[in-house]
This record gives sequence, structure tokens and C-alpha cells, in this order.
Amino acid sequence: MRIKLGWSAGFFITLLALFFLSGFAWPEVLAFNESPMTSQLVKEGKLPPVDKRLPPSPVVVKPFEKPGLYGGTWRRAYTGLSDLVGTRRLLYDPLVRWSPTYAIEPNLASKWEVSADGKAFTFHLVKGVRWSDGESFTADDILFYFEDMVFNKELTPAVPKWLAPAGVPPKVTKVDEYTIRFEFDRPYGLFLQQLACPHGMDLVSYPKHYLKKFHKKYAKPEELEAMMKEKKASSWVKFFHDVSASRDAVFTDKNMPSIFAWITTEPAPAKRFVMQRNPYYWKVDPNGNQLPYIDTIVHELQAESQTILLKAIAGEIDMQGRRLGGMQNSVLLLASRGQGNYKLVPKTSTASVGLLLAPNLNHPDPVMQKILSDRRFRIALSHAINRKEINKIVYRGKGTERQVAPLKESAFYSPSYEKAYLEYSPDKAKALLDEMGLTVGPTGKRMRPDGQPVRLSLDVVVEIQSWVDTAEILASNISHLGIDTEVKSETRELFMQRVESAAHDIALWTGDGGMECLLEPRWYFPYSGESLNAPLYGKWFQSGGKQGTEPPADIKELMDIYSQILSTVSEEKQKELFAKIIAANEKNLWVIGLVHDPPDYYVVAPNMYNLPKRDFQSWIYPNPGPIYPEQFFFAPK
Amino acid sequence: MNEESKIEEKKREEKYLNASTRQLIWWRFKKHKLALMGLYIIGVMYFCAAFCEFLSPYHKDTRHSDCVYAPSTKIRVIDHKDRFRRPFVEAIEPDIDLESQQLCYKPVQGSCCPIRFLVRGDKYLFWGLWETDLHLFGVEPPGRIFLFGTDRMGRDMFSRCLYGSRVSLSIGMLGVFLSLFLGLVLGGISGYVGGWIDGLIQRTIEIIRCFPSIPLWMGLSAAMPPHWPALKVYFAITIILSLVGWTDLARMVRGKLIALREEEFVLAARFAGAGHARIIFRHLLPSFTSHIIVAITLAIPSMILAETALSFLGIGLRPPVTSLGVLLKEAQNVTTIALYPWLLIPVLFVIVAVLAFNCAGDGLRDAVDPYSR
Repeated sequence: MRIKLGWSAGFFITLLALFFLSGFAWPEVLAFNESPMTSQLVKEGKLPPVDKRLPPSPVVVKPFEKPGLYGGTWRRAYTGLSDLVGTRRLLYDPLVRWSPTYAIEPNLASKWEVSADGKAFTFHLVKGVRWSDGESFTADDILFYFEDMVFNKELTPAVPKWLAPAGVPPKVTKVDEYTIRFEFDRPYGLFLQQLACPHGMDLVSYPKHYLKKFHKKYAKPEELEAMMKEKKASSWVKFFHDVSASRDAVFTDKNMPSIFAWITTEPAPAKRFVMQRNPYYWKVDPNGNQLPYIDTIVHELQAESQTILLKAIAGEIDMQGRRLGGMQNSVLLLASRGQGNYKLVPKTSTASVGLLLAPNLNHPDPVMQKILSDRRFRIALSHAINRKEINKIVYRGKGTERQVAPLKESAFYSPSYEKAYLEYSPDKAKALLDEMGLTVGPTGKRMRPDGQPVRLSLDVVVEIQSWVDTAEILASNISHLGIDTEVKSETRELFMQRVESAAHDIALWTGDGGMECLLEPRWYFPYSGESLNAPLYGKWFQSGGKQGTEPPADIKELMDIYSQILSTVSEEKQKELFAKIIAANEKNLWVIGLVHDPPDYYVVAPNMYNLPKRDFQSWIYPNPGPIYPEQFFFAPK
Repeated sequence: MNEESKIEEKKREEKYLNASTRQLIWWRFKKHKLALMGLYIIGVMYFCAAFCEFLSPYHKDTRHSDCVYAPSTKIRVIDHKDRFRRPFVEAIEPDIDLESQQLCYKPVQGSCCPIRFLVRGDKYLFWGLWETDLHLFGVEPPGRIFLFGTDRMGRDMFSRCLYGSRVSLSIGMLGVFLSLFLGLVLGGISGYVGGWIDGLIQRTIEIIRCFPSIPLWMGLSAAMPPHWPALKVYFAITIILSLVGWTDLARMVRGKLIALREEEFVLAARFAGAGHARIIFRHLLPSFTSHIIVAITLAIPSMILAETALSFLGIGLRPPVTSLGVLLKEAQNVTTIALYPWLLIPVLFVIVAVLAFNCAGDGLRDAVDPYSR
């Protein structure tokens, strides 16, 4: 049974209880309060009192609406081990984090210094943070991740790219127990942002005191051997990977300590995967109440996302966005909202557009390459597209028609690029094509200079229905220009194979990086093989000129600008430089944007509070982590 | 009993005695009302499938972008001033229900678009032979007629059902003829030659039959290269279906042949110097054609169901080919069932077609042996 009390009453009782329990000995106890769940354990002597568990000056989280009440079970649903990503995104506590407005803010590192040349970063950790088993979290744990995991050639053959931007990993030093220092060989302007990304969590997910006994460097060989035998592991590396299991271990193994708000009590993939409050969580609300407010999170195993949708509609899910996204689900969720089983909180996609056209600048056929590289051709396509129709059919008229430009909420917003060449005007398009010399032949089709008819195929992955639908509309739009256009819908693997070898004419993909333009610049210039408009130029850039194809001067210039941004620390200067990239995009329209998709929704129980009015939906911003799930709470019904 | 009725009685008896087997079968079949109805329905369905471009008011891929997920159009005869008119529909315009944020459609007040026959509409290539734009029926603009509503891209479901049944029904037919061919040849050889060949073929059949059919189909269609064009996939699916379906027919043909090859008329034919081929095709086959027809009629619905199942699972036909299974796949989610139930109408087509075939087949089975009472 949940104890239903007003928060002041709860506060009072807890206070009183603590007061008596402590035997009037420690007046400073009054500073912090805790959940009845943990105070019970303290009473039984199974836990030290709350002030011994919290850091001397814990991180204070300001609730969105009001201070909450303790207790309650947060019901969610998941589809199995592969679906733990959704849970992972609830537990977001890297060194520095994204704030709900998508800016950098301190978290586990309370402050930091960046050297003037942008090469050295010094982080000061919050003192007294403890792992969920009570051990202290110190710079040693971060050092363990680097020295014994990342820099261990056996465990990590290649250092992750974000930690070694130019292939050279940083020098990591422990200044003191709570200070750690990173030194890169060149300026790394995006290091803080990178730390706030989901992969930044790797630094804080590996408890040295626990993992030591599985690590070859520290463990006694015979003990390690015995443990490996027990787990039937074929090699030490595999065994260590199994135990540490790249951040999922906290869900599948009860013994793995963590620093997150909730810890696993019944591990996944059980029918009911249960997590309970971490008694050592190091955050409080402004009144000194230890967070999280909610005691328990239960994930129920479901076979399929459609059943999760049905559960959400029936009000059997308290707060979840995963597996409930997409236009079709949103429509049903909105339609059934009247039953009062839930409220909906929108989350805006941070992709600049839901879908874009990436004409291949690296086309194997020289004639096609010349056509696709002509900016007039791309502008003609943009004018030929009836975005209104796409918006009506695919997004129910609720999307925003725009180019692949940074979003309004972004620091790099450019209104002129957003609106460039949006007008639906087949006549303008035809005029541009005529100007290029792609004139209409006797059969009514446009002819290439070599006398062949121009043909286009639109490559799209078949798994996402709305993409295929959009592609069909695009094909009929473009066909009106006298260009035979077919939709090539393929499975994801096949699509990837084709586009990464640059065998396509035009590929369709989502416009990632509408907010996080610097972290995900693939649509602003050929950044990597994932820049589907010029995968070979992208590979050239990534490999430093060793692979791929050398791009022409105007694209090389953009690459230079981006490299400058990377080595710039000042945000103002970064903005200034990036504006140049945007201007070049506006002129050349390398990729053609369609429509920014309408928001997806979190399904939220009517009595759950402390959620913001809206959130972002992104991979890099692991929502809803940045909106502090630890301060969500249930009000009595 | 008077003289006249006696003569009539005699005439009828004479007619019965002189009637050919075919006539007898037909008479017997006619008595089976359900079977007769099934046969008519099959006839109508295949007719619709054959002339689907003409019968449907729109092309299957025409998008009506402002009528996405429109429910079926109401046909009315009384207008807003209570006057009696020839059947008409009202033009609709989209409207957003603010409370639930749902798209709904409301009729434009006073619009009255009569239904006309033989109208000009979307262009199509009739049977791939000549281009025309004549449709059996349509409405005057700005009205639009969606008998079964529209789908997520504003395409008319009625037209899509007709196009879809063309593919599904023809796959059933084609598939059955393929398996008939395989069944006749292999079953014929097995039954007529006998010996170790018979054993080999029979064991093969047993092996094929002991595979559970859906996983077998799934495996075969997964082996299909994903980059194949739609038409090739269509034929491949036909072949896959018939590769499994031929075994029943082969068994039946073999059984019949074994029974018949010892008959006197075969012996007579052999003494008269007839070759194997002549004996098989001239004497043996005709004596069990009727059984084959029954078997075919009963095999077609399972083919139709198999295609629908495969496409529904997403491993059969793929858009832009439109079959009943493909249409159903598009309706495969909770949202459809909750908000757009008309997208499930293709199920009715499947049910009706399969039922009709089964009824007709049942009647035929009774009728093929007209001498039994």
C-alpha cells in the first residue's frame, strides 16, 4: 500500500522520526529528508542515515512545477533486452549534461576549466557521491575506465572516435581524488558537448572497486579462472565484456553498482523488470528531500509495440515515449485522450526535417554526376516538390515545410535558408531544367546531353511506411517534369550498402542535426560516409584524405571551416564560422528538405507531475533523461 | 394417369438416359443451390477482376490529398431541400476536430454531385493494349465517390480492392494451373510407370508434405532476391505456392491411374496397339477429368489464402503491386482497427472468394458422379 500523505505531513513525520532515531545527537540531520522506504531501512539498521549517504553538498534539482511527494510505482513497458535503450535514457548522469533547453550544464562535475588553447579540460567532481553499494565515486573510477578499459588494447581494439577526434586519445590524469584532467593533442571545441551525449555516460558507468575483481590486471589469476569457468566464458576479454556489458549490466545484473537514481532489483529480461530507488542517489530538491521521488519503476515485458500502445491507451503506463512514437500512434493517442487515462506531453524532433533528398554528388555515371552536381538541377527538384501535399498526406497538415536548416530553437537558426526554394512551382523547375540544357525530347521525356532520357530512382528504406509514402509522392511530382522517376524501397542493410558505395541517384533519409548542428553536421557538408549526398567526399574527410574521393574546392572550404570550429572554444566564434557553412548551403542546396515532422508524445499518467511543457526527441539528447525523471512524482488521485 | 403425362414421363426418362455425362453433371449441380450461387459469385468476381480498371471509379494509385482516411461516401437521393433527386453524393471537405485533434470530413452544404455512368476519369492502359479513360461510373466534380473510403494516402479503397482481387484471384488460378501441370506429369508418371520411380516420387511428396507450409513458404520467399521487380516477385510467389500445392493433385492422379490402368478398356486399347501416350491422354485422363476439376476448384481458395497470408506477413507481394494481402498488411495496426475500420474491407473479399470456391467445389464433388443417387 502506498502511504498517501500531504507532502508537509510526510516531511514532518520523517523529520520527527529522524529526530528521535538520531537521539538528538546530530542536529545537521535536519537538513535532509528521505523516502519512507529508505527511512524504514535506516530504522532496521540496514542503511546508514540519509546524511551519511548524501554528499555534504548534494546536487540540487529544481522541480519543474512543485516539490513532490515520495512513493509510487512508475509503470512502463518494454519488449526485451534489445529495448533497454528506453530505460537507459531515463538514467542520465554524465559529467556534464544537456539541460532541458539543450544547453550544457554541470552534473557530476560541478565545475570545470578549459585551457585557453582549448586542449586541456579539468573537471571537479561533486564530492562525496557514492555508488549504489555505498562506495565512494572518485576520479579513480573515471581513470579506471580510461586506463584499464579504453586504453587496454585487448578490451578496446580501437579508441572510440569521439574520445580521439584526430586518432590520438587524450592524456587522462587524476589531479586529486575529485579532480580529473584531459589533455588533447589539439584543441577540441566540442568535448563538453560530446560528454553530454549518451556515450558520455561511459565515463561514469564502471565502478572500479567492483570491476577490479574481473579485470586481469587486478584479479588473482586463479580466482579469475574460476569465475570464467563458472560463466563458461571462452576468453578473459569476453568475460569482462559480459560482466561490464556496456551499460546494460546495471539492468541485467543486480550486483553491478551504479550512480543512477534507480537500481535494479529484478533484472531484465524478466516478465516484470523492477528497479527501486538508489538509497545513495546524490541529488536533492531545494527543500533537501533526497531524490528520486518515485520509489519503484516496473517495466512489463510485452511481445510487441502494438500491445504497448494498447496498454498506454488503457492508462496502464505512467510515463513513456518509447514505442509510442510515429504519426500513426500519435493520432490514436490524441484520439483516445478524451477518456482521461493519460495526458500527452509533446516532444519535438530535433531533426531539421522528417525526410530529405540527398542527390548523389559521387554518382558513378559521369553524365548523371554532372547533372546532380549542378545546383540548378537541385533547385529545380526543390521547386517541383509539392510539400503541401506531402504535409497533408503524411503529416496530416501539421508539419512545417522547410529546408535542411537548423531549427528555430538552435543557436545557428537561419530564417533565409529555412525558407529557400520552398515554393511549389513546376514552371520554375522546368525553366531551370531547360536552362541546363535538359530539354524535352520527342517522347516528352527530358534528354541528357548524350541523348539518353534522364531517369532517377529514389532510394528509401522499406521499413518506415511514411518514408515510402513520401517517396511515392515525390516520384510522381518529379515525373511531371518529364523525368522518369521510380521508387526503390529496400531493406535497411541493402539501402546502406548501396548508398555508402555511392551507387544511388537520390537517397532519402531523415535530417539529423537540426539542433545539434556541430555534433551531427552530416547534412551541412560531406562530414562522413553517412552524408548520403556525397559519401565518398565524407569518407575523404573522415580519413584525412586517405580514402574516398577528393572534393572540389568549394566543399573543401566547408571542411576547413568545420575543422576550425572544432578547434574553437568560443561559442560566438563557432556561430560565426558555422553561419558561413549555412550560407554556402543556402546557395547550393546540396540536400533538399521537405517537412519538419509534428511532435511525438510522452504518455503521462494524469496524476504525474513535474514534466516540462515540451521536450526534444533525439538520439544525442537522450530524452527524457535531460528533463530529470528523478523529480517526477505522483500526486494522490 | 392419363396418356399425356405418361408420354411426358417417358420423354423425360429418355432424355435422362440419352443425356451425356456432362449434361448429367450440370443437372445435378444445378440442384445444389449453394454451389450454384458460389459459381455465380466466382463468375462475378473474376469478371470484376478482369475489368477492374473500367469498373473502378479511380486508378488504384490516384491520391486525393485532401481526403486522407475519408470514410465511405454516402449515396443519397434526398437533397438538403428535401427534394427527390437522382442518386448523388455530397462533396466533402476536411475539418479538424479540435478536441481530439482528429481529421474528420464534413459535407459541403448544398453540394450535389450526381452519379453518372460511363464517365471520363483517370487514364489507364486497358489490358495493356490501348489507353482510355472511360470508367463505368463516377461523380461530377467537385464530388468524389469512395464506396469503401480511402486509405492513408487518400487512395480509393474500392478501386484498390478491385485491383487487389485481380492479383489475388489470378495468383490463385495461375498457381493452381502450375501445380496441376506438375501434379499431372509427376502423378501420371508415378501411377502409370510404377516401380521404383513411383516410390521415388511418392517419398518426395511425403517429404514435401511433412514441412509445415507457412515456414516453408517463408523460407522460399526469403530466398527471393529483394531487388527483384514487382512482376518477377509476382511470378515467383506463384511458383512458390504451386511448388507446395502440387502434391495433393499428384497423389490423386496417381491413385486414379493405378485404379484405371487395370481396367478392360485399357487392356483393349493396348491390344489394339495404342502407345502409352495415347492410352494416357485419350483413354485414362478423360475418365477422371471431372475429379481433377473438383480438385482444382478446392485448391484455388487455399492458394488465395496462402498469397494473402504471405503478403500480410510482408514476405509475399510488395507495394506498388496491390493484392488483397498487401492491402491487409497496410491495415495491420491498432490505429486502423480503432479509427479506420474500413481499411479491413479487403478481408470480406477474401472471405467471399474462398467461401464461393468452397461451395462451388462442394457442389461439383457431389455432381461429378451423376450415376450415384
